Formats: sequence, structure tokens, C-alpha cells
Amino acid sequence: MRSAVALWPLKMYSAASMFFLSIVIIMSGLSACSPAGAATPITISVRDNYFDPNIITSAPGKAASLTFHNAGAVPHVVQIVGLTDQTVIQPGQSATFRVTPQTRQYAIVDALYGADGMVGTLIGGAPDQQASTPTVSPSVAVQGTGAAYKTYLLDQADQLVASAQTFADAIAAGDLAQAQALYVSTRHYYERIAPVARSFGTLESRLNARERDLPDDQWTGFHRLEKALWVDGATSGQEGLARQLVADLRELRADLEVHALLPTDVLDLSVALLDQALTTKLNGQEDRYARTDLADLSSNVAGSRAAFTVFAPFLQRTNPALLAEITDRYDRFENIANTLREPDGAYLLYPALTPGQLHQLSDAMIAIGEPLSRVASQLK
Amino acid sequence: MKKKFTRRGVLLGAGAVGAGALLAGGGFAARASLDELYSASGQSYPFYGQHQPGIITPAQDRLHFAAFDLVTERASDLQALLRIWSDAAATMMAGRPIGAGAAPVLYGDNTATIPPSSDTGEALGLPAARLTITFGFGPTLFLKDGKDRFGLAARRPEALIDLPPFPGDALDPNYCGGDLCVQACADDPQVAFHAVRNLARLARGLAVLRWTQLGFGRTSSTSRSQETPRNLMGFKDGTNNLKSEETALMEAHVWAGAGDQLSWMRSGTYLVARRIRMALEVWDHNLLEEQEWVIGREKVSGAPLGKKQEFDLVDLAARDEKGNPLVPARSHVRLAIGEGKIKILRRGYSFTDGTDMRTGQFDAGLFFIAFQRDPRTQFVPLQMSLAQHDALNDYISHTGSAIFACPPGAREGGFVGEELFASI
Repeated sequence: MRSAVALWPLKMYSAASMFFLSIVIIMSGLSACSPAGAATPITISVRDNYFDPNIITSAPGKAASLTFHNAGAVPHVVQIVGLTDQTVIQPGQSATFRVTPQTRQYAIVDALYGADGMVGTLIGGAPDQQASTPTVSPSVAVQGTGAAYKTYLLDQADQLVASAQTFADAIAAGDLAQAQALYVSTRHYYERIAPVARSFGTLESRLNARERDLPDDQWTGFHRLEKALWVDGATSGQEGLARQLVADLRELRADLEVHALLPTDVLDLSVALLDQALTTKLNGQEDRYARTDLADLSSNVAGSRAAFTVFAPFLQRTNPALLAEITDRYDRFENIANTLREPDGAYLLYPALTPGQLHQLSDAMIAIGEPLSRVASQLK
Repeated sequence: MKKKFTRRGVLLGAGAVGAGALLAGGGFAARASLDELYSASGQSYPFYGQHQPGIITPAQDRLHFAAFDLVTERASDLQALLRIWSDAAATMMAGRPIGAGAAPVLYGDNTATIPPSSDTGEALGLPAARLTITFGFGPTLFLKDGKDRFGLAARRPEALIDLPPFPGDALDPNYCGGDLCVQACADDPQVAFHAVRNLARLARGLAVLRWTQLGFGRTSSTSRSQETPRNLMGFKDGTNNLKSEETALMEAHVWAGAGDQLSWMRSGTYLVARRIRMALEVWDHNLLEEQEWVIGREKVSGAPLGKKQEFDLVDLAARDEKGNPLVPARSHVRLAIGEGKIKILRRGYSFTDGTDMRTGQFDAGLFFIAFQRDPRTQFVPLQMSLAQHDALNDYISHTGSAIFACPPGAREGGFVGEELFASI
């Protein structure tokens, strides 16, 4: 079975492009109703591990005051990319930033947990509003999940391209061991967001086709290189394929830039990542030569969790029990996956996994999927 | 009656429980009465005729499918087996036990000499249950490992191809191929099982079971009189299936005709079986919107997306206000109707074989059976398109595969496939 977000292309090409327009209208409408005058500071709770709220709208060209309060139990490192430096906030402490956004979006990122989806968005997107008060409304908070997730998505895509470049460099340098190691770590970024590649024509099959999915003379991408590195044990002759992989990933990054996401797209992606883990990885069909299926599986679930995490502030208000249940299920999965590592932290290779361990992994992922699918009913 | 509580006595007694109190005081000499119970009720179909039964017969509720491998290398054995099987099939379809029946034959008073009954007996007291038995010949009957075991290689129909590999195939050799097949369908699972079991027993020494598949719910309607059933995904699938009432379409798409090469297959057809496992756990937590998008139909009504009723025609050209196709490009319904050109007669069943012991997930899905005039122009291009593009592939995998030539029906007094041997 292949990757699993069939709904993705339809949704993204249809309604999603209207998303940013609509949210801006909603936000500015709300702002117009708020009291004009001096800037009312807005406080953002920094929790373990999400921002609440994670979408803030602020009039461009006007100063705004944003206070981050660490309401969690661990330190966080907060940054509004392009507006502030990284700032450490200890539990119970706060930090206030006075910023003047332009007419664009800014990513709010936790440097420690951003890779797990702890991201938010500051939208400098209501040029006509009178007040300079940044606003957030619980009723529209869920609409912001698409934008918050996009921040994460682009960050992951940037790291993916960068990692793929080092992978290609290692192949060009003829360093087999280094190339093998970088194959695994580059897959880590890819597998956190893999289903999005579906949205762009043949990109997914160029990047991730497995042997015999395509005629041999058309087969490119990760798995062709995987076969060369593990079966042939050679880097020579692969330089062109490696360059093409980097170019294709750059194309993916560029395509993602211009895509807007609806909340249901993000939820779908969260489910689809779980499905990829449950099908190709759990069956050992992904990395047939490197046998690093479990590493990919764990990246899929991490990506699923990151996509889910952008719903956390919304669920905290609307259905905290569901938030707690899903969070607990992800935690349980991670506890199980963490028992399946070598002493150096690398995940066990697929052939080393016992049927009992595969069973545990399957059960843990299926247990996430059921409550995760119920988030959909909260979005209506 | 001293032996009543010996192992044999208990077993025979148990077998007759369905017969009420017939054994009480009557000893074992109740054969005629037991056999009469067989055909007491239940609709039955004739075995003999122009076409084999179980093809355009309105789909029954249950399936037991079996693939056999021959262990003899004599063509005369093969002919003998087909005759024995045909006779038995005709008898069982009529709701009667085979051979001398299910009751023991007495030899004087010495019960120790009683041989096992010729019919295994588990269908005693059950109706015919619309049982049909359909036979097919696999490619290996004609040529196996380069060997023409029965001198039949020259008579292999061109349409009986070795199915090509399809993208995404995850075939388990334990569910593939076979020299012969038996498709037993009935409204009662025990009747279907009984049929396969007794045919396997009759074949002992000549043919052995290669693999079998139980199906518990029909997934196709093959007659206008039948409502479209739901598959394990909860969707109506096969709404646009050929219906047996459409005689002209049957001639065009199902039955091998006069122009189709070998005369021994005229009025026969080709059966393709695919064991398709569904990732039910994954399907279950996907959004309804995604499910409907994948299938191309509304879940509850079965209507094609953009339509109101199940039998509304699928409008492949329809678009929403943004210009997107209402029936998505990769949806199953769009691809499965082959843009309207390819038609097959689907006659599949839902199955479950318990759990996948590695992962604890359901081992369940669709046992797909389709009949057609020529798989080269029907199943193969259809499946090639589905395997490449169908959004449903994210949720299914093909784990078994087989193809069989189903000869025409047997004439009364003859046997299935008789003409194959006509000039040998």
C-alpha cells in the first residue's frame, strides 16, 4: 500500500485557496468591534507543548505588545521569527515583546519543540483596522490551525532540503557510510510530512516510488538511492540521481509555499501520516534494503502528532478530555517506540522486530487513530 | 444398541440429531428416511445446461471457493475426476446426498463392518439452499513448469493467460493459482462447505486442495431482483455490475462466443479471483469525507457523488463550482467503470480469516470474483488502471490471485469440460 492522503489534492485545490482571505476578513471584522485606543497587551500561554492561542492577528504597521507566559512545567525557548530573538522562558515566568508587524505572516516557534508542532502564527493581516490591539477569538481559533501547521510544514521542508543536500554531497564525495547515515536522517524529515507530496502531480512518485512501482528507466528518488547504497554498496554513478532528489525536494518546498491549508486538511494529514505508518512501515515495505522502516514509522507518527498539536489550543477550550486522551495515546506510542532502540538511540532494524513488538506498535497506533478521528466532529 | 455410547455410536447418533427421533428404536437401518430429509425444502438450481451454474445465478449469501492441484498425470484420471465431480455436483445441487447417501449400509447384523458413508453427512436435514457448483481449469492444467502433463497444451485458450504482475501486488503464494477450481455458493455456509468437502474427498488420490477461501457475505448483485450489498468498508460497491437479465450484455461481455477461438470453451467464461485484504483499522479512522472521496459514492445512499439515488448514472463530466470533478479523478467508481467501456460480471464475497498474527489486525476484505469473455481486454486493463491510480489502493492490498477457464455447462449424462477431451 502507498501513502494515504487521497483527499489532499482535492481539498487543497478547491476550497483551501480561499482560506487566508476568509480568515483575514473574519479577524478584521472582530477587531473592528473591539475597543479602539491604546494597545491592550495580549497574553499567550506557553504550554507543554503548544501555544494557546496559536494564531494572533495584529494590525500591520502598528506596535503590538505580546506577552508569553510559561504555564507549563518545562522551560521553553520562544521566537517570533523575523521579529524577535530566541528567548528562554522558565516555568512560571513571562516575556513580553513589543513588535510592529508588516502585512505578512510571522511564525511563532518554540526552538525546543517546534519540530513536534509547537508553532503559532502572528498575522499582520488587517491593514484597515483602527486599533492596534492584537486579537484572537476562540470561535475562529480552529481556522488558524491551517496557518499554524503551515509554519511547521515549511520549517520541516527547509530542513528536509538542507539534509538532502548533505546527503547528495556525501554521495558526490564517495563516502558510503556517511551517505547511508544521511539517508536515514533525511528520511526523518520527509516522513514527517510525506503525504503532502501527493498534491503535486508526479512529485511523490519521483521522490518515493519503490522498486517496480515504475519501469526501471523511470525509477528515481529515495528508494533507488537506497538500493544503490545498500544492495550495490556503491555511491559512484548515483550523483545525478542525488542531485535530482535535491531538485525535486526544492520543488516540493516551493509548491508548499503557495499552498494554504484548511483545518480539515491538517487533521487529514495527521490521520494520513498514521496510516502510512500502519501500512507500508509496519509491514516492512518502505525501506526494503536499509530496513530502517521503524525509523520512518516513528517519523510518521511524530509528524502526525505535530499536525495534531496545532489543534491543542482549540481542543483545550472545546474538549479538553479529548485533547488529554489523544495526547496520552501519542505518549504511550512513544514509550513503546523508545523501547525499540539500540544503545546509540537508533531504532532497531525491521528484521530485529518480533511479532509481539509489531503487534504492540500496531495496537498503539490504532489506539491513536480512533480518538484522533473524532476531532473532526469538533471542527463543524 | 449396546454400541450406542461407543465413539462410533455417539458420532453416528450426533449426525442424526437433525433428523429428530428417527434413530430411536430404529437402529441404523434408516437410510431412506434420512436421505429424504435432504431435499425437503429450499430452492434448487439445475446443474446441467448451456452454461455452468453459479455465474449468472443470482448471487447466494455464502461462498466456499477451492483451488485444487492434480496429483495424477493421466488424462484419463482427469476425465474420470471431472465425471465424478459433475455427477456429485448435480446431486448435491438437487439437495441430495451423494453416492449411497449419508446413512451407513448394513452388512447383516455386524455393525463392525460398516464402512464410512459415501456422503459426509453434515448437510443432512439442510435444504438445497440454492447451492451452485462451478468448475474451472487453471493455466497449469495445460502447461506446468514447461510440462504438458495431460496432452492438453495445444488446447489452452489464448484468453487463459497467466495474469501479469500489477503494481502494488502483495501476493501470497499460498493464495495463488491452481490446476482446477471449485466455486460453491449457497445460502447456507454448511451446504457450501459440504459441497467442497465432498468433492475434495471424491478427488483423493487424484487431486489435492491447494487453497480455499470462505466468503460470508455477497458483495455483488447479479440480478435486478437483488439489492446492492455493502462491502466491509460499509459502501455499496458494484452498483453498475452486469445483471443476468441483460442477455445481450452477457453475450457481449461474459460468454465466450463462436468467434472466440476454441470450440470447447464456447458458452464458457473466464473466472478471475483476487483476494483483496482491506486495512479496516485504517479505514475506520479516516474521515467520512475521505471515505466518500475514495469510493466516489455517498456512504449511506450509495448515490454517485453529486447525485441523489444509488442508480443515478455516474456523471464523470460533472464539476463543482470551482471546476473540480464531482467524481474525483482517482476515485474507485470512476476508474472501476473504466470510463464506461469495460464491463465484467462481478460476483465477489466478503471474507475474514481471523487476525494477522503479526500485527493483531483483521485479516479481512473482499474475495473478488469476476467472470468475463476475455481477461486480456477486460480484467487486465481494468486492474492495471486501478492498480496505478485508484485512491482505494491506500486501504487495500491484493494478497491472492488466480485465473480459470470455466467451460460451458455439461449436457445431461455428460460432464463439465467433456469437449476438451473430445478428440484426444
